[in-house]
Amino acid sequence: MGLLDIIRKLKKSDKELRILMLGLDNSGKTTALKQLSDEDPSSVCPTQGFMLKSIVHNSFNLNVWDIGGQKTIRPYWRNYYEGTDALIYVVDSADRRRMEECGLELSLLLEEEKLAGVPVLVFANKQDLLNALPAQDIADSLELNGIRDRQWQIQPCSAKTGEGLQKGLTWILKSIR
Amino acid sequence: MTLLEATKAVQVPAGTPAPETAIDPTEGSKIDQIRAGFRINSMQMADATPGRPVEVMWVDDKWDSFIVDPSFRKTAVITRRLFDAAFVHRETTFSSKEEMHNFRIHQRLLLMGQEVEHWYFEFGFVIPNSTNTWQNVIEAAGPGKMIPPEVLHGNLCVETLFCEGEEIIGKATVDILIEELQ
Repeated sequence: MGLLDIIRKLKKSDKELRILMLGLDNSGKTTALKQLSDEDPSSVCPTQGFMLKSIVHNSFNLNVWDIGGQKTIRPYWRNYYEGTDALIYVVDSADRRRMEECGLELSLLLEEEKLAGVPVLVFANKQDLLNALPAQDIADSLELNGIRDRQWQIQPCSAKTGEGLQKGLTWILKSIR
Repeated sequence: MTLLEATKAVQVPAGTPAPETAIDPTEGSKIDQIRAGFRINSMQMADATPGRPVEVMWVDDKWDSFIVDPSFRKTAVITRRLFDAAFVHRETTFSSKEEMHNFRIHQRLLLMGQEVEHWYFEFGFVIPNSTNTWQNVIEAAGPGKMIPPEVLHGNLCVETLFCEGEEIIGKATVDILIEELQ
C-alpha cells in the first residue's frame, strides 16, 4: 500500500490532488514520502528546496510537494500553498527541545489564508525512537484541540519503518471527500 | 493562470510543439543569470511497479557539460526489463542559484524523431540557491500496447526542456539504448 493505492481509490471525478508536506528540518518528510513510494529511504539528505512527486494514473494527477524545513527555507513555504487539498505536518516526536518551535510554525500555517479550511494531518514521526513523545503529548503541545476551522488528525508513525503512514494516508483520502 | 492550474503534470497530445530551443544571445541578462546558475545534478529511471521496492535501472550524475552546452546529448543503456515495468519512475534533480517564478519542464519521448509522449509540468516558484527533485511516475501502456524494445533500441530519446516562463534555460537529451540488444 502506498501512494499508488491512494490514486486508484480516488473518485473518477477528481482530476488532481495536491498534498503539501511541511515540518521542521530533520522531521522526516522526505523519508516518509520515499517510504510511501516503496523507495529506499536510507539515502535521504536534507532537502535544500523541494521534492515533488507526481504520479499519473488514468489521467489523474497526484502531486505531493515536500518542501525543505530549514529555517532559511521556511520563508519560501508560502510560495507553495495555493491550491493545496491537504496538508501533512511532520513532527520529530523525539525532538523535545524544538517542540515549541514546531508548534509555532504550525500555528503560523493554520493562520494562512491560502491554507484556510485545508485538512491537516500531523504525523507524530519517529515513534521507533525510545525517547519519542506519545502522539497525545504532541497533540497537547501543538494545541491541536484548539483547531476549529478545519478537519485535523494526529497519526503516530515511523517513516523509517513505515508504520502508521498508511493510516495517515487513509485519513487524508476520507478528509478530502 | 492560478497556481492551482499551474501545478498540473499533464500529458499533452503527442505532436504539440514544445518551445523552440534556439537560445537568442540578445536576450536580457536575467535569463542569462538563471542559465549561469542552473545545474542538472542527476537523472534517473526506475521500475516503480507497485508492491515491490523501486528498482533504479539507470542513473547519471555527470552533467557538468550541460552548463557550457545546453544541447548536450547523453546515452543511457537500460535493461529491457524497464520496458516491462507497470509504472516507470523518472527523476530529475537540478539546482538553481537564482529565484524563479514560472519554472516549467517539458519532457518529450521521441521515437525516430517523432513525438510519442509529451509531459508538461509547471512548478512555478523555485527557491534561490536550492536543489530540487522532480519525480514523475507514469503508468505504462500495458502488455500488447508497448512498442517492442527492438524498435526502441537506438531510436528513442528523452528530451527535457527547462524553462523559466517562455524562455529556455537549457535542453537535455538522453538517447536510449537497450542493454541486451547492444
